[in-house]
Amino acid sequence: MSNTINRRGVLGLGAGLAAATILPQGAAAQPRGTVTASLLGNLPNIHPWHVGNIETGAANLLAFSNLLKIKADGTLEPDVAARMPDVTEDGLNYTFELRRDVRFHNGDRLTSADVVYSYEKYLTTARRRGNLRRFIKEVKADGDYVVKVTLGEPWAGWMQLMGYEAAIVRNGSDVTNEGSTGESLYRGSRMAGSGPFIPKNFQPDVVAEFEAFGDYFGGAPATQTVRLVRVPDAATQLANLRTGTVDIISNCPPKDFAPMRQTAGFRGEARPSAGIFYMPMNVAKPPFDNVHLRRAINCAIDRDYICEEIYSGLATASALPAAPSEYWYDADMAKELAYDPDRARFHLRQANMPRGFAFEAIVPAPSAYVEAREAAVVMQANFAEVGIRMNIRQTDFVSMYRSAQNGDWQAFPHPSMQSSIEGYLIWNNYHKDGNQARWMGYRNADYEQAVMESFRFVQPDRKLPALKRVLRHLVNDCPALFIGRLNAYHLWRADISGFGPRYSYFMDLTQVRRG
Amino acid sequence: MARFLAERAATLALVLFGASILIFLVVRALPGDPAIAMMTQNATPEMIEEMRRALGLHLPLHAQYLHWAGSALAGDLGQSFTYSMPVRAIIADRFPVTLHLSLVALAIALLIAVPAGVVAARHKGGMIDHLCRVLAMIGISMPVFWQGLLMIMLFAVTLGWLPPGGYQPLSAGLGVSLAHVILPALALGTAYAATITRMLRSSMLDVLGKEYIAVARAHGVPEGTIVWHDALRNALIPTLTAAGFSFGYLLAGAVLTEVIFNLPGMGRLLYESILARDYPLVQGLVLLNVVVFVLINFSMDALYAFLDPRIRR
Repeated sequence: MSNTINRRGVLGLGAGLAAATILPQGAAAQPRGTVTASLLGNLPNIHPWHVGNIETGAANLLAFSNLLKIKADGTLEPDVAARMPDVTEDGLNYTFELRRDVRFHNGDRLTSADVVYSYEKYLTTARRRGNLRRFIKEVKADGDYVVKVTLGEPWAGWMQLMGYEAAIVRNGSDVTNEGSTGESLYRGSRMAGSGPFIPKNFQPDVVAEFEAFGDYFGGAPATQTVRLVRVPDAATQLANLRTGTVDIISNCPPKDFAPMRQTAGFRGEARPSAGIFYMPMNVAKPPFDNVHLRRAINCAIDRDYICEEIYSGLATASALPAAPSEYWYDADMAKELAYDPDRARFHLRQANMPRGFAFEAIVPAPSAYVEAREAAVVMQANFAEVGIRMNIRQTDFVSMYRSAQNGDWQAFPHPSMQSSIEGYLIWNNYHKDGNQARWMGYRNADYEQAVMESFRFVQPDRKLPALKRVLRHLVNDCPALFIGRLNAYHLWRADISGFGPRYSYFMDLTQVRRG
Repeated sequence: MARFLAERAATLALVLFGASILIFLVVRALPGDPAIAMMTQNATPEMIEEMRRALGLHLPLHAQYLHWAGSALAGDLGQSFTYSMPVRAIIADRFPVTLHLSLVALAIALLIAVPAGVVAARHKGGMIDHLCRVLAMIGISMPVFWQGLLMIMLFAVTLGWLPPGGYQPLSAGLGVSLAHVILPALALGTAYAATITRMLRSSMLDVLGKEYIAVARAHGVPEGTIVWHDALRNALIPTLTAAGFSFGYLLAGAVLTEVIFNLPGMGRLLYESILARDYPLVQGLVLLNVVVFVLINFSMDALYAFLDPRIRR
């Protein structure tokens, strides 16, 4: 691409500047047009504190604001906070100063009382995250625009998690978690949110429509109406994009991504995300209570083939939970678990099982996980090469979690979206107090200490020594087979701008515009 | 007649009662736990137990059944776990979509099947008969989802004549509404047309071989009147029974068609509620399907009894 400015470019720039000077500013800021994005998964609710999947995440971003928000690259930036918080050296006290220009959709001003109310309600009613009470001890207001958060134990990752799903609603607003599930619908009340769009029309599982909120503190959105429509089949999503029925699609089969993004009239981008494809092993039960077998498993898998061929390059191979591009990745440690059938056989001999062994892998059956199923078949072939027999049992997630809760499982290869790998997964899966750790069965006091040490700091350079210790244990003990990190990717029509894939995988349509 | 209908109604009430017990037990026999479905992997066993209690799943099975059946009799099918809305309201939202699709699909099926079945029987062993049989075989064998995808590619993507999916009610305008429903209805209708064509052909052949048809021909009644008036009327009785049951199947929801064409109907809802272990919703939807079949069966019995007095005795 040429970087020189030609005559036409200079004239165009001049005309643009002249138009910007002549036209009234308000006219350019008027929201206009409609942008429609399709969602593959279900959208059962629009709720400030119940982000159950990437679809509800997209709706949540449009309607609500948080203390901090997650940027496209996964780092945090202030949202209704005026700046990043002050954190005490022990990592236990966070002080947030709030912006003074934030208004809710009904016109009321946002103050610290709203933040305290939201966090109190979130922590007591959002049942899926009820365990966060062990970390977040107290949230209190200090005047109208300062909020102090006190943690019971250090955990820098809480801000990431809250950035996903603890939206700020108006103090005493009509967002209710009534009913038996505690997750009843937010029905588009204008009282609750302060996001760039106001929920206007909502039919669960069918469509959600949002209209621009002109008084949004970040500036009025460029688009008047954003529609999220459910299209539950990937091939139909592509057909809808081609015909222009939708402007953006949330997902498509990886093999269709590259050809489609090169088609005239369409655009597509991919970026590393917080998604991971891995196979946890039940280390509390045979055969995976034997560390040599777990190491053999790790060395037997050709991760590059799975990521390049099955995921069509939309996953990045890594033997560690960290992606090669991330600050806590360690190439030398990764080498220890690289694909090497001879080394896998060596570990089998160490386990006194030179002829291999058999195990059962529970693989998700839903159609959205077609790559996971294909990857499982490749894994089966890789394992067979060294004498390991992987029997595949396909089932849905509910049955799978039931098996996990009952301890009735051996291995579980699956893709998973996380709020953060170094800020959540390492705790949730393998720290004794993590929710999933209860069924993973892995216990290591030094690992737990290293995780908590890493949670004390926000700055990557200060977290790094502890994270290296975490990685060392994961490489030595191999409680899981890490295969790769997933990319977030989307396709959209070329006349759409202000949109791109995000680390969090959620579609962020807050800046989207036509033209 | 009244006594006959009362007896049939009493039998069908017993069928409904038995079906309700069966539905309740089968839904609970599904592997997995709705509480886990609600909370996924980020929950401790204590939280899951708390959720089970909140959902009323800790109660003995008979207590759960009595509560559900008692409420259902009063018209309350419970609250969906997934949507936190009354099941009745969700079904009321989705049923018109499926009803609309089913009516158009059935109309298409009959429009194709009746002439095709009659013409094939009239020209038995001829070119047209062979063509109809081959087309019917293709219609029966081709998976609906594949047919649907091909139709989307041709009519929506390549030609741009019709939208690739979605639903618009009749209130959006007849043209708009029909444009959205025609492709899925064609995909479904052609499959049912194939079955009905074969059945009608066979019925017509049977009727055309009867003595009264030969007598009519001997009296010089025009062939068109014999075929389209005398023979078809009699051949249609078993065909309409099949069409009635086809309508029942259509109303139960065509999962794949609704997914491919992005129609928020009953089939898609049932599929997703099973995946989510949304017990009240699954029970409500299956119960509705049973009621639809029972009513169709009852109507058929009444119709037969009306047409043929021997059945009443």
